Amino acid sequence: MIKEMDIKEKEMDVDRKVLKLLYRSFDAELTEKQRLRLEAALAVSAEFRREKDRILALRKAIAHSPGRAFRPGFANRTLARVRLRSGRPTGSAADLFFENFKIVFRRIALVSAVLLVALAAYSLTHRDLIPKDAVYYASDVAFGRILQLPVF
Amino acid sequence: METAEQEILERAKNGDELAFRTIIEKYESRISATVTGILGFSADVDDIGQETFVRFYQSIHRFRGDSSIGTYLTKIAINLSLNELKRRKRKERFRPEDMPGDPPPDPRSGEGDRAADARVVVQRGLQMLDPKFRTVLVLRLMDGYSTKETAKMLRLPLGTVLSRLARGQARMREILESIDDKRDGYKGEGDGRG
Repeated sequence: MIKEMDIKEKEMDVDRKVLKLLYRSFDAELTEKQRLRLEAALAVSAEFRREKDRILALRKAIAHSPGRAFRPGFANRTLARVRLRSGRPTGSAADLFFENFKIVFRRIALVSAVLLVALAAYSLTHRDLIPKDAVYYASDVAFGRILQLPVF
Repeated sequence: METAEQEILERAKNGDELAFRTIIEKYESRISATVTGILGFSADVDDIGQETFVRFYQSIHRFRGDSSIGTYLTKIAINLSLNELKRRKRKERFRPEDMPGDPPPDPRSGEGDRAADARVVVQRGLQMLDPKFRTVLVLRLMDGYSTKETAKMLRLPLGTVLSRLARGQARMREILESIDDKRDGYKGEGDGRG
């Protein structure tokens, strides 16, 4: 039983080595000895031939899988960025504004959002610190009058 | 390098914006395929693409023409893409726009087009691969570089590239089989997802 297992393991080892050769054959030159070994394995084993076809199909599928095109106007946006970086503002004012805005906005957006949330939370828990009339530019009395208007 | 391309390059070096636009338009799809292949369909792809051409512009006077413009741009794109992957890993933040999404619908496909479906599955499988395998598969199989060129661009020994190609393909097989199994499982369970 142990002998059978040893033989099976050796067979698997050979299979693994030949399989490695098969993969290698697609991307590199094999030596004469390696090429003959691989050809012999393919000649005797239908399973190896199927494996070769599967690898070929996989490689073809990867080669033809879709890449995503950049959004329309990529060249314009890239040139605007090039001009910005080289300090040559020769693009349209709108291009430059949006390019600058995008770069600055990304950097401060998250920090600003966190600060706003923190401020709002603090303001809610410490009502006296920031009076309502300072935030809304209207006193409680003014609010009362507004709420009495016919629309309410 | 071809004479026509050499001429365009010289004009771009002299500040001819139209010449540089020609270069962008010529290599835009190649760079998008490379960047998308490595990063997936995420919001950063456009940004990385633009940065690739900006970096090329900034170094254009140092470009000696030892390689083609396409290869040079691809090298920049790969470096920027790999840096972006490292940055994502470092920050360990999850933003939906950072995660690779599904590829856009293939305009060549109609409803139920199996070939288009297979392409989407393959692209999804690629995004699940370890980046070190994905990069060599993208360069070798999608971009069509030889194994030697791939090794040179990634500054890896040839043996390492061959090993990663083999392991990457084997791993892709496992991933695609598991995606297929899940889809068949959904269909079999009859839970309305199939």
